[in-house]
Amino acid sequence: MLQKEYIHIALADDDEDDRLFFTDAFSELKMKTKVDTFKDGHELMLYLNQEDAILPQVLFLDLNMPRKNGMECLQEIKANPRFDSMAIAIYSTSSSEEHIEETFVLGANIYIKKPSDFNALKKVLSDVVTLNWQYHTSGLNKDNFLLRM
Amino acid sequence: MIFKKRFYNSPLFLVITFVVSVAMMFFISGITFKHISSLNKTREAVLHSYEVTLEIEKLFTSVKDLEIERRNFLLTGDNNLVEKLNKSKLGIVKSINSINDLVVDNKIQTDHIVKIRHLCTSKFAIVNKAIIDVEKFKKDRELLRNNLLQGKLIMDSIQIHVDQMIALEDQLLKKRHEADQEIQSYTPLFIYLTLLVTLTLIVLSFIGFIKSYQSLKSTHEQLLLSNESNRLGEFIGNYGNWSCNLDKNEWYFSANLYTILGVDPNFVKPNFENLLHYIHPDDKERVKEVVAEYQNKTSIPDITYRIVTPDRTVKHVRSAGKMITTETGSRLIVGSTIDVTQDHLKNDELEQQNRELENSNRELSAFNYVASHDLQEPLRKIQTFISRLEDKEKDELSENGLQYLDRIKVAAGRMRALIDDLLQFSRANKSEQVFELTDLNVLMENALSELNQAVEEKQATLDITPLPKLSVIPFQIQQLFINIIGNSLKYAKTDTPPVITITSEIVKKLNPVKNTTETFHRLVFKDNGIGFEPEFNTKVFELFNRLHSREEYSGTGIGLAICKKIVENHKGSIQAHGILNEGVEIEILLPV
Repeated sequence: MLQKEYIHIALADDDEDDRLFFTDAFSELKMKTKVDTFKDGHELMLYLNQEDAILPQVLFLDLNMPRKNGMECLQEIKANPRFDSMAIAIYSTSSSEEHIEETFVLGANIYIKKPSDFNALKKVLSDVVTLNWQYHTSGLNKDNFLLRM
Repeated sequence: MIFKKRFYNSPLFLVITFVVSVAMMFFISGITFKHISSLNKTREAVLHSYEVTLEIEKLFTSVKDLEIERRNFLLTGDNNLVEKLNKSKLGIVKSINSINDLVVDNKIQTDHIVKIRHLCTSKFAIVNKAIIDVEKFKKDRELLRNNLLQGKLIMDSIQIHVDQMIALEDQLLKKRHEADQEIQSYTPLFIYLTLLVTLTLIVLSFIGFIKSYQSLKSTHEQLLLSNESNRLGEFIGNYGNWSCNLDKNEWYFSANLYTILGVDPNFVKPNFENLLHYIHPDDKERVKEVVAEYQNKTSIPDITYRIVTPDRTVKHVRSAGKMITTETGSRLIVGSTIDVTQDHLKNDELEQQNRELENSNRELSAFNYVASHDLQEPLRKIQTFISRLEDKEKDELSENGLQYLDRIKVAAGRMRALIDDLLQFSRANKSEQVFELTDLNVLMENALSELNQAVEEKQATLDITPLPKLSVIPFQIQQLFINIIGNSLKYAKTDTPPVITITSEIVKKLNPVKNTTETFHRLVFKDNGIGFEPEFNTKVFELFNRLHSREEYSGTGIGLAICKKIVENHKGSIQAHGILNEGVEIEILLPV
């Protein structure tokens, strides 16, 4: 990670406020990150499917979005080997068992419940971005899938 | 004894006594007939003997008369006597003939009579000689004396035969008398004894008959009674009975069955074709199939179908039947048909209401979930913005502004707690959770680790006995433990550190509905907190019900309602026993 200048991060969320919190948090974190945001799943997939697109290292995916929801995006991404290097973090208001179960089965790497405190948000995002994904993914199970604070 | 009594009353006994009595009667009549005919024979024999004796004596008298007349004739020579002599001769021949006829069966008497006839013939020869030689005898005295002597000798011979014959007849008579006497001596006793036995038998069979009659009468009365109560039962229970003799194809419908069919018993003959006439067209084939099965099945399935009465009313009825074979070997189907229209309608109505209730329940819980879930989103934003304001704009705000911000924060926090609890409640409502065999000790550990901070803060002591392994919905039971222990910690006295004891034991309880004993795990959570008055024992489980003001104790009034829901999901029960200022005991029964 040291060799890379920037960590590429992407967020797909239809909520403007959430996108704002997200970018604010990263700018306050003072990490070398490049953050791209997309208004919905459709826009995200259009970008990702470009031949010359710079793929994010970590993709934050909201579940409930118009046009193409997070679940559909997850399925498409996991079906395409080109995206294998991307870590996918589900980023949702809901912490319902069904959603957690389903996204785990579909192959997401971590599940984050959107915090209701800005400082908590900052901590979560920094934790997720600096996570050793290789280590995390190899020991992934249903219990550590949901990120607890 | 019982056997005796039963035999005594049985029809077989009656038949036997009757047959024996009749046989006895025949026997007695036979004996009597035989006896009378024997008496008759004796009488005839006596008469015969007398007749024979009489005839013999008559003959002898005639012979004597002839001798006297002959002598007279010889003495007087009176020719008038010749005619008399001839007449006497004729009389003697006649007498001999009639005696011969009488004694034709008796060889000895016949021999005697033959000899007598012979002697008489000789006698007649002498008489004839006397008539011819009467003049010669007058001259020759010697000749006369010879003739007389000859006559006397013949007379003597006849006398001897006659005496013998009479003696023989006497003897015969005597013998008959003796034989008769013998029969007469034992017959009456025998008849009397037989008669006595017969009489006894008849009396016995009469008693048996009376008893049978009485039992028949009481059975008949019982039958009448049960018939009447059956009719009443049919009327009250709205059902009708029917039966069918399979071999003769004879049907019987009870009065109330006609009432159910809505027809007059006088105008409709009880048979299947007529019944079919009232069955709903859509159900006819089905009923026919079932009835066809009657022919070769002993157990007949229930069938529910519709009938249409003459006034076009549709009724729902259910029929059940059973085949029985009578003692005489004929096969009968007996059955009942019950009018279930009311049940049917009620059932329909209930089903409809149930569906509506289920729908509204589903809608309600969906609404609850959606509302609480969707409310989270804006609330989270509000809270995040509050934290942004606190971080960035703190210095720009006045004293008042900071105070307002604080109030907004508290209110938002409360709303967060409410929404979280409501979400939990709505999740406890979902019934499709999976039961797993779980060690409750593990769930308790998890619960305590979640409450760790509060336990430490309050310096609480927990005394927990080992818990069982049960088939439960794990996360719900864990939530249950968190809520109950959380309450104990929250409502602890300010001056006393909380002591919470949790015990588990197996108890048996009587189920009053099924009248069976059922085994439960009884978990008791006891604390030494502020408690509450016993009158709130049930109220604490109601949704949004709080016993304290928000300022005193935070809370949403949902926690125990969730507990109740969870325990109910596990088919258990939960009870609270509060004592003000002493603590609360929560008792949970979970089925094994």
